[in-house]
Amino acid sequence: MKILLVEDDESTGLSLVETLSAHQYVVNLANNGETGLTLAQEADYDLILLDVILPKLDGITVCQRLREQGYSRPILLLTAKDSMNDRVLGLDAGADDYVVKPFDLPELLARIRALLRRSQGSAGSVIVWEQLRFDPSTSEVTYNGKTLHLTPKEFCVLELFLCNPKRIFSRSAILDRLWDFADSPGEETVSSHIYSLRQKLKAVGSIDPIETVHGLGYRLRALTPEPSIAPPEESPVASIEPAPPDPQITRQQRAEERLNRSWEKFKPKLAAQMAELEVQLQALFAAPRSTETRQRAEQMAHKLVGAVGVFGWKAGANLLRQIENQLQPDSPPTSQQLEWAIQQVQQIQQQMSQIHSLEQLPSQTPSRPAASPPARPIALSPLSSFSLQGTPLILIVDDDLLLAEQIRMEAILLGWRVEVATDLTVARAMIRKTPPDAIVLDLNFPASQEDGLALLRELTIKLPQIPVLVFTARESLPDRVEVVRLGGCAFLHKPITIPKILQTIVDVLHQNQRLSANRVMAVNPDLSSLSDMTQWLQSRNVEVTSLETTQQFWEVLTTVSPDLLILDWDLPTFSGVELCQVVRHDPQWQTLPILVITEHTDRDSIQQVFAAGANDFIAKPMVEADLVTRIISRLEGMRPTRL
Amino acid sequence: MSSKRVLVIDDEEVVQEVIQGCLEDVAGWETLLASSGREGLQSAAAEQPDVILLDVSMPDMDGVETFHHLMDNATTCTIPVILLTAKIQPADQARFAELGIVGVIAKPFDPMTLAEQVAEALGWNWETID
Repeated sequence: MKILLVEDDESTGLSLVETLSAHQYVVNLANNGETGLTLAQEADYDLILLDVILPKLDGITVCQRLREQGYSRPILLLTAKDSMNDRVLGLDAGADDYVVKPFDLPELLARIRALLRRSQGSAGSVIVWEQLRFDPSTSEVTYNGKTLHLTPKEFCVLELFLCNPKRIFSRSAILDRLWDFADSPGEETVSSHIYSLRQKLKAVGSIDPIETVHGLGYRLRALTPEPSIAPPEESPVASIEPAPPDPQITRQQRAEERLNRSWEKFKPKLAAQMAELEVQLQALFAAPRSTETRQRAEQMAHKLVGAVGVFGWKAGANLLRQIENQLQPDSPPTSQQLEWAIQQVQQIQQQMSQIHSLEQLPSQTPSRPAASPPARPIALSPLSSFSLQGTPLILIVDDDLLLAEQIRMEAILLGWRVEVATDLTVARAMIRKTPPDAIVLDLNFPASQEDGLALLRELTIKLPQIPVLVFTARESLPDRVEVVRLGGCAFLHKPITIPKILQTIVDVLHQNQRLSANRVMAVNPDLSSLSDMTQWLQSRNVEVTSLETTQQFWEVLTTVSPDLLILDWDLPTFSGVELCQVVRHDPQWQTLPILVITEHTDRDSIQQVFAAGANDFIAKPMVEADLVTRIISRLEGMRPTRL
Repeated sequence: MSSKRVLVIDDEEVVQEVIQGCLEDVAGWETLLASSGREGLQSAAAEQPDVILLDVSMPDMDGVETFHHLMDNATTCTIPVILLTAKIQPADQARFAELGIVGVIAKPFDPMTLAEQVAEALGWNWETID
């Protein structure tokens, strides 16, 4: 899908290009109305995103001119918050829809998908061709249930054919549709992408969907019957899995069929209730104090939990239950929570519209063996151990979109917000825009010159407070050491189960939340060591009180009441030994952990350190990772045992 | 195992229909439906089902109150009751057990294994059904 973005604000433009590219759209950016108009007239775009206020020619005029010339593709306006006038003018001028700035990205993407769906009748919906299932909303392609790992370009090529089943595309037409002007390569590139796509399809056993039309180009191979595009009106189940000619229909199958019929029957009602819930949530967002609206929304969410859940759509039910929980009277939802809830409701609505057979349910087991062990009648939610305060934002940086998506689906069930970046540039932009609460970072990005360590390095310097979990198939000690050295919080080795990843995120976030209560007092005559130490520790949410001299030592100690004391051994006036002993002589401080920093590492000196009552020592010169690790692990050891 | 009769008390039509479908098709049990606690009490007394599946959150008379009424009535106090609830805390569980409820099935449940869950809660021998 190719999009023309006409936007003069550079940062908005670039971040939109990044986001759209991350969602497999090909984007051309024009920074004024005139260029936008020319591009729209000359190239073949599937949709135009058009800012209203633009240099040279404003967006409304651009829209008007295009429509006058018979331009029929969708145009989505980006309008400023309080210019109702623009919206009316824009729609009158022929725009199909508008989004108000500052816009919410998921909403913008959903609107784009909706417009494309309307204009093409298929884009944005799940497309089924033979056993091939193509889902643009999750960027997932499967053949007979097996996942295909496609590059973004292969994905786009396949989409182009599936969306235009009868059309022949020459190589140059494909270049035109799927490549950017700026990096438009030669036509052989198209051939090589089609080749690799065919290889991947062949590997999973698919017949080749792309037919070469000699001398003309390529087209989608015709199937008898025609490739069916979900949602078709009749028998959607059959298009996905042709009914097996099994003479003996088991009870289970009969029940499943009946369940599907119930789903079809109740879907309109559920859709209406979902829409109603969204309206209530929007109203609550506008008037957060309205008890009546909150109650109505809560009741509606509650109804829907049961109704959606009864079909076995656990993911949907869990999300709705979380929304219901947020609407409880004892703690009215924050505007952030409401925004999240509205977003989720929109997503559920969208997913729901695409579910025609319950076998399509996300995380649904495709077939249930009759002898499957029954679920325990009394089962506590397995998610309870994953609870975190608020709705943390997690950024997953991984080029394995499928895995990232799986983590995302599970994490959303926990009420977390999750963003996915499939390359480092997009990740950087996303972090800049909204710093997440935690980052899950893959190290390998084969398509890029740099690896995940580069990003980790930057984060350590610029945003050390964000915990980073490294997550990689690489198995080398130097990598692990480098990750520790750069302050990574955890090293997860692929393959790893998704619950394990989530649990680690929870642990890391808990650690971060709890560490903020920890206080450290450092006494060191060397100002630069002291400031290094302070900086290292503060970046890990440790409160540091630093002291250059020993004059005020006791007053500060009793006022600050630290959880750990760091003493330099060679102090003026009173020595480290003396201070250590003084502290240990007071019953109140007998258990205070003391870490000594010393350059004397011979046996006698070390013995002296421990004899004075210190718990540990660190040799000079101090190494950040060493110091931080020892301090954090000691502070952690003092906390109550984890869940 | 002979065919069972199950009374489902739930105010949501969609939940009723799905449960009915699954219990009838998967397990071959006869299903009776009631849309409110009050209706459920009458039906339980008149029909004497083998088990009652009772939704906890219903308007007017909720599941717990309905259960108390069932227990107070000599004609219904021996019918086993399984609660269906989305809100399930360990404390609630203990309370439900004290009240004499034979089982709690957490919502959302997998409709296809609901009959098995019911059978297990009641100690019915599931293997002999098919």
